[in-house]
This record gives sequence, C-alpha cells and structure tokens, in this order.
Amino acid sequence: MKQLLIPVFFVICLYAELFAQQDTVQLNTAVVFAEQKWLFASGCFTETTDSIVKKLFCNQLISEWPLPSSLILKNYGPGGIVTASMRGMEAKHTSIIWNGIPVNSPSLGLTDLAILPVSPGSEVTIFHGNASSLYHTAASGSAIIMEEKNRFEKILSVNGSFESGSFQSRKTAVSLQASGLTFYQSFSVKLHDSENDFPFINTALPESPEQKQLHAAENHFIMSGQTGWRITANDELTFSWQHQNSEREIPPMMTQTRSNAVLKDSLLNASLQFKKIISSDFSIRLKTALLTNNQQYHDTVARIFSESKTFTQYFESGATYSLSRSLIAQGGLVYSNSQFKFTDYEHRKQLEDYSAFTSLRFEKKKFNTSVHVRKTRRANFSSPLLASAGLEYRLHKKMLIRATAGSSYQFPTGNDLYWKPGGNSELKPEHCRSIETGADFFFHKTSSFSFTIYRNDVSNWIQWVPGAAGYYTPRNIKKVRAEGIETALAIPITIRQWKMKLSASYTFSKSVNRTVYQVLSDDILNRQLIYIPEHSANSSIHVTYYGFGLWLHYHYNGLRYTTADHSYFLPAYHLLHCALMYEHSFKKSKLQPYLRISNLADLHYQSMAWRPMPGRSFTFGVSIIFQHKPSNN
Amino acid sequence: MKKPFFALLLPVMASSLLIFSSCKKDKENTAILPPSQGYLDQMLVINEGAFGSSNGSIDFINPATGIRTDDVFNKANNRPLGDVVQSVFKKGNLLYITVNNSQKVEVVHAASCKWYKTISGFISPRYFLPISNEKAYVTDWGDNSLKIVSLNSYTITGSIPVSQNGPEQLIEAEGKIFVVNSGGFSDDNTVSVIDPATDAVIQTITVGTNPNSIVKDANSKLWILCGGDVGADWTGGTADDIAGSLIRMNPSDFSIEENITLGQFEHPVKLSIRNGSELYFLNGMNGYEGAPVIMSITDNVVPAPVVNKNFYGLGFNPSNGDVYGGYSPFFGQSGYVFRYTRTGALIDSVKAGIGPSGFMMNN
Repeated sequence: MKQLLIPVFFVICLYAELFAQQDTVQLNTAVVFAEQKWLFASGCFTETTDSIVKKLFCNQLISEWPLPSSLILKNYGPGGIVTASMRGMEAKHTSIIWNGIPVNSPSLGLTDLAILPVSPGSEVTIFHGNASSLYHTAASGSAIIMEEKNRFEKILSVNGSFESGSFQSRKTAVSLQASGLTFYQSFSVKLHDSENDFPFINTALPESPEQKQLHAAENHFIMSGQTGWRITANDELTFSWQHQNSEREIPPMMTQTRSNAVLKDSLLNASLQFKKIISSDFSIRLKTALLTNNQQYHDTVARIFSESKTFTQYFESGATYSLSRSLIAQGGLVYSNSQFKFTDYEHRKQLEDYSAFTSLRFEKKKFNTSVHVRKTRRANFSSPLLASAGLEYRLHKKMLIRATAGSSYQFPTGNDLYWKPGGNSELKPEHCRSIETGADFFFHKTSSFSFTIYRNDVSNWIQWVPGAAGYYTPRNIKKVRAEGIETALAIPITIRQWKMKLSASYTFSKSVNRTVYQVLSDDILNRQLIYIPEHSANSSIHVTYYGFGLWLHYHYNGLRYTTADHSYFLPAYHLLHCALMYEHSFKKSKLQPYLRISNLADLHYQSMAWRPMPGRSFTFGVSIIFQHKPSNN
Repeated sequence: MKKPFFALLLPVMASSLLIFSSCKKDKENTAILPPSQGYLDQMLVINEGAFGSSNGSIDFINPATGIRTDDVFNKANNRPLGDVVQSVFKKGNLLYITVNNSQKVEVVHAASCKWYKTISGFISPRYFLPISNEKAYVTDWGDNSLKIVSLNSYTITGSIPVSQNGPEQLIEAEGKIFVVNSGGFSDDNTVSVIDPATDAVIQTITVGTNPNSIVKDANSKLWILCGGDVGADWTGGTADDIAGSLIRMNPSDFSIEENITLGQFEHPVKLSIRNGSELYFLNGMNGYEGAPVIMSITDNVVPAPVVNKNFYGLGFNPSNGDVYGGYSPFFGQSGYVFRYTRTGALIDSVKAGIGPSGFMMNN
C-alpha cells in the first residue's frame, strides 16, 4: 500500500492550498488555447460519452461501457481481450489517445480495452473517421480520446463506490479531486475482481448442456492521477499518470474441455505537459511521456510462456498562432521511440518515428475549414505527405453540412515485422484514402439528427491470416474498400419534473476485399471482412424524475462472417440492458444507489466464435460523493 | 395526439430479443444432404480448420461422381467437430477422430457419422491406434506422452511418458508400438518403442531429424519420414536448414537398413503407403506442405513429384492409386481437393473445408 501514500499525502497538501489560495487568476481565453480535436477537426463527426453513461459506468473498464453503435467491439468474453474498431476497419486502425498521447501498443498496434484504465475525471470522445493527420498515423479508422482537464476551481470532492454483482464480481473505487485556483489534483484507485463463472448453453457438446464458465477469473488493480499547476496566468504544467495490474485466466472455447492459460498485464504511463500562452495570439505546448507495458502469457499445460515488454518515449512540441481573427495555424514535431522485447523475437527491437505536422483553420460566420499536413519517417520508410481537409457550412440555423477528405499511412507494428514465427519484414505500410460527408440537423432547441456517409480505400492492407503450419503470418492484402453510413439521433424532452433523453444510432458498414493476393482465392473477393457487421444499432432512453432514474439501452449487432469466404458466420444478436438509480443529497454529500441489469432478456450469444458471453446479470452498487466548494468571498 | 418517438421504438426493441445464437455454417454449404447409403466407400477428407476458430470438419467425396458432402459431423450431430482436426482412424464400424485443440477424440459411426462417444482428458491429442479390442494408444503432443484409452469405458486409463519431444504418428510392428517423436516446439530425432503388454518404453532409437510419419510395408519393414529442420526462420531454404530423410528400419532389431537423404532444402511430410509397396509423401521446402511424390519401396532415390504443385494434405485411392491433394489458400477460407491420376493427370477438383490436411478411404 506504500504506493498509495504519496498521492494521498499530496491531496492532503492540496486541501490546505485549496483554502489558502484566494487570489483570482484570470486565464487568457485566447482561441490559441482551444483544443486540437475541436479546433482543427472541421467536417469530422465526434461524439462525447453521455453523462449518464459516465455516471453509471465510471468505475467500469471502458470495454463494459455502452459505446456507440459505430464502434465495433470484438469481445472474447469476460476476462478476455476486447478490441474496438470503426468504419469497417480493424482495431489497429483505432488509435487510443490518452491526454494527447497515442498509447496503442507499438508491438500489437492496438489496445486491449478490457484492461484500459480510464480515470473518473476523463472525458471520452469518439473521433469518427481518419484522424491520422491530426493525432497519429495509426488513426485511419477512428480515435478514442480520453482526456482529463485541469479544473482550476476551488473544490474538494471525494467519491467512494462499491459494486457487487453476479458471477462473484466486486468492484471498489475511491477517487479524490482537490483543486484550487492554481492547483488541480486528482487521484483514483480501483479494485475489481470477478470469477466470471456464468452459466451458458454449450452448443458444441452433445445435447447442448448448460455449463458454468471455467477458468475465467480476473482481477485488476488500477490507479491514476493528475496534477495540474497553473504557474502563472499563462503557463500551465500537467503531470498525468496511470498504473494498472491485471491478471486474467483465459477460459476455454466452447469446443475445448479446459484451459490453463493465464494472462498478466502491467502498465505504467506517465506524461508531463507544459502549455504557455506567449501572447493573446500565440501559444506553445510541450509534451513528453513514458509508456511501459509488460504482458506475460503462461500456459502451464501446453508449456507455453511468452513475455513482451515495451517501453515508449514520446516527445511532442507544438505551437498555435492566430494569424487573424479568422485564421489560425498550428504546427509541431513528434518523436517517439519504442523498444520492445518478446520471448518470440530474436532480439530486442526498436521502432523510431519522426513526425512533423501543421494545420490551418479558417473560420467565418457561416463556415469553417481546416487543412492538416503530416509527414512521418521511420528507419527505412518515409510516408508521403499525409494531408486532410475539412469543411463545415451552416446552410441554415437548423442545418450544418460537413465534408472531409484525407489520407493516412499505417506502419507495420512490431509483431507484424518481427514476431517469430510468422513476422514479415517485407511488409509495406498500409495507405488509406478517406472521404466523408454528412449533415447535422437541429430541431426543437436541443434535439439533433446527424448522418455521415464515408468511404475508405486502403491499399496494402496488413492482415494476420492463419498459416498452414499452425501459426499466423501478416500479409499485405492488396486493397480494401470500407464504406457506409452512420446516423445519430438525440432527443431530450422535459415535462415538468420529468426529464427524458432518447438517443439512437445506426451504422451501415460495408468493408470488402477489392483485390486478393493468392491464386484460387477469388472466394474472398468482394466479400465483407470477417467480424465486421454490416448493420449495428444502439438506442437508449434515460428518464429521471426528481432523484429517481431509469435507463434502458438496446444494442443490435448484425451478422458477422468468421471466415473470409463467408463459409462460417455468427448470427446477429440483440441485447437489452437497464439500470435503476436514485440520488439523495445531504448538504454537501450525495448518496447514489443503483441496480444495473445486463442482458435483461438472458440471451445466449457470441461476440467471437465459440466464446460464450454471459446471460442476465445483476449489479448492485452505491456511490457516496462528498463535495465541498468554498466560496471566493 | 402525437406519439413520442421512443414509444414507437420500444416495441421494436422488445420484439428483437428472441434470438439464440452460436457460430453457424453458411447456408450455401448445407444444401447437400448425406446420401441414404451412408458414407461408406467414400473418400474422407480431414479439414483441419484454423487454430482457435473451432471450424475443423470432415467431408466425404464420392470417388465415382466427385460429389462432396461437406461438414458431415456437424450435419449428423448438429454441433461442430472442434478445433484442429488432426487425424482419423477406422476400427470396425467406428471412426476415431482426434481433435487436437479440443483435447478430445470423437467416436462416430463410420456410415452415418452419428456421434457415439467422446474421449476427453487429453492435452493435445494427435494420432489414435488401437492395440486390442479393449485398449488403444493416443499420442499426446502436449505433454510428450501416450495416453492409454479403454475401448470399453472410452476413458483414459493411463499415460506413458516418452520423454521425447512431440510424439506424433505411431504404428504396430513385431508386437511393439513405434512412435515417431516429431520435435514439438524444438527438435527431436528419435523413435520410441513401446511394449503394449507392459505399457513401457523399451527402446529409444535415433533416426533422422524430426521424424513426422511412419508406415509399414509389405515386407514388415518400417519407413520413417524425417522432415529435417527448416532453420531459425521457420520457412526453410536457408543455410541453417537440415535436410529431410527417408529411413527404412527393421522393427525386429531396430537396425536402420536404408537412409535416403534428401536435398538440404527438402523437408518432406505426410508419408503413407499404398498396398504395402508404394510410398506417397509430400516433398517441399517449408516443412508443412509439398508436391506429391510416389516412390516404390525398392527405390533408393527419391523421384520427382508426380505433380508440380504444393499441397497441404495428401491421400490416395487404394484401388487405383489416384492422388488426392488438399490445397489450402489460407486458413481463413475453404480449401480445395485436387484429384490426379497416379501419373499426374488432373481428373477433377472440388471445394473442401478449411485446411484439407488428410484423406482416408472409408471402406
């Protein structure tokens, strides 16, 4: 528990600072301090997680959140790996951005959402489409942006919550936020363990008996914190960190009788960021981060032990300059150095990337447009100039039209290149060209409807395909076209004390091989890629009346093919979740008990073939929130 | 009065919930029904499936018509066969199907493929061999052992550690059981000899590098195919390759009577024998596929392949020697079976399951 003492001590110190600091400091609100994702994302569709979702799921791992229908999760079941993809692309095309730092594993190229820590103060934003030129070359499908902002306000908040649920699941979380006008400190710790011994119908056995899931226990220990210091009115320093330890038993498939495999993950990320406003039209920012990850896979029966260690150093410097009232420019340099060592590599390997980027935004009353350019260089390969441009035009006060186009390069990951056996050092980077257009309609003051039509053309798509010798190998499958439609609807309704919010989204996604690389593989030509449903949808209703709340969430995931020639598939499934909650306030405290019921209809379904998912489950939780806001007088 | 939009949506949400789902086979491939006379006298195709995907299967091809019936186990039993189908052995009117990564042996009726029993408790079973009407051995690659199976109770009754790497094919000769140790995750160059009366290893014989298959000829001599080593890059064709070899052994005194060394980059696999006199195997460079070779047991050099095409699986028609080649474009899609005359003329081809790796005439 020693590791807990330092942050707790720091919070106590800040508490003293909270009451001592009475000076009013006015932050320069110049536009140059605006966020990159909003300022330079003209024409892109983004959505931020609903507040009710955040409230109900803030102590969950993000993989358990009801994420938008456009985000396709590949879920190996409780305790297993979860990855996310969007717009007919793969998980490696979704970049996870933590406080502005891309944190996808340099070896795998993706992030396992089942162990991804999200601090309670974070906003989670989904950036639809090609964000590569803005954030990272790997973000050609989408980006999930987790960002905790420094809130320089006098506040002390302590939040404790406890959850207990089906399948021997327990979660305990404590978070603190103490901030004054010049300091911000947050700290959270979460403990989560579950046996995941849920019953399921095993259709792979004679007479389809009901079984209990075996060897699926998981436990997680997660800590995170952020310290913000407003040095002067124009200077801000932020230190963020997150640490997580997880141990997960890998359950057998339904066609297997047992498994002894265990996966252990350990992660420590830390970043230091400095922002300075030089003048009302010029600001600079410096970022550095260290990202470490250690993963061990151990199967005592099959005598397999595999360990991967990755260590990434990340440096970014950037500046934003307001050329005029309507024209803003930014530019920057990025250097990242990832070193990794696997038991399945011959030697320690290293990937060094150098990037330079620049953006320009022009804004007038009815429209805004932005242009980005990025160039990245890796040892033996330099990407061409990646460019993207976006436009938003307000046709009417109730209608906004938007469009973007761009290109991106996706470098092979460490495993793509070096995994032994199977790694392919001859791989070429993927090249993605994307275009999208859409419109947002606003009606009844706060209601909105959005639609987006997109197309991505990827050449040299890298895909790990099962090889004949029992191991997988990555290959440049020549060309993939992913295209589709995304729609989103939000209707808030207030009638006296009743508050309701209806939201719904539907995604159509067609992602097919346009050319193939082998003789006799015409069977996979122009076929939907595996595990990408053509249709997916979500809808939810949230109703509150005084302190009572009801939340209903429906999710539809369409048919997914599990082989490239469509000889096998998983049928569509529908899920219904609900939650009941109550909030009672006492002076500075709030008590929030809640009951969550997942998979209300107790349906048996699979997200990945022959990996069972749990039926109906109940979770009871209670949160106690203490919040003190001293007045400035 | 206008209905709120969500009031319309709720029934849609509720009506969509009665779905029960699991992995399905594409409708296109389920149209062909099993023949009324059963699957006897048909060519059984082992489709290994992709590791971790549980889509291994068994097909039957009628040699007279060339018509294939796909995924017969699933059709007969309404459930998948399992993950990585390794081998099939026929004893009496039963088929013993070893399913490697499902850690089991499925026992089915040979004519109908209807399920009879499941033998479970293995780690990574590879090949089945009955020793008597009461007892069988199954090589277990995962813990370097042979499991002793009771054919009365269909349970594992014991284990024989071979103390070598990757026990693979096994055969009976001169009252003893010979097991090739294929190397597992490393290398090996031995054959373990087991006395079935005592269930004990009585001898370990050194042969070539990484022996992968073994057959017995009409003269009761054993032929052992050694794949050699593809080297550190796992693909073959590099300076650190160790050549494959074909060895003839006398099972009486364990002496090596003939040792035919192949080229340094030749790593043969999947040895089988027709009528006790013709050796069939695949000769290739990467250690898991190759071009079909037919060789007489009287030859002392390896002839050129009869077909200049690499296959993952190899079989033959015992009556006329037709060659069956299992072709796998990649393990994410269905494979193909090509049939040739024994002189290499293409007869026909038909789609197969994923990763067609072996054949057996069901007669």
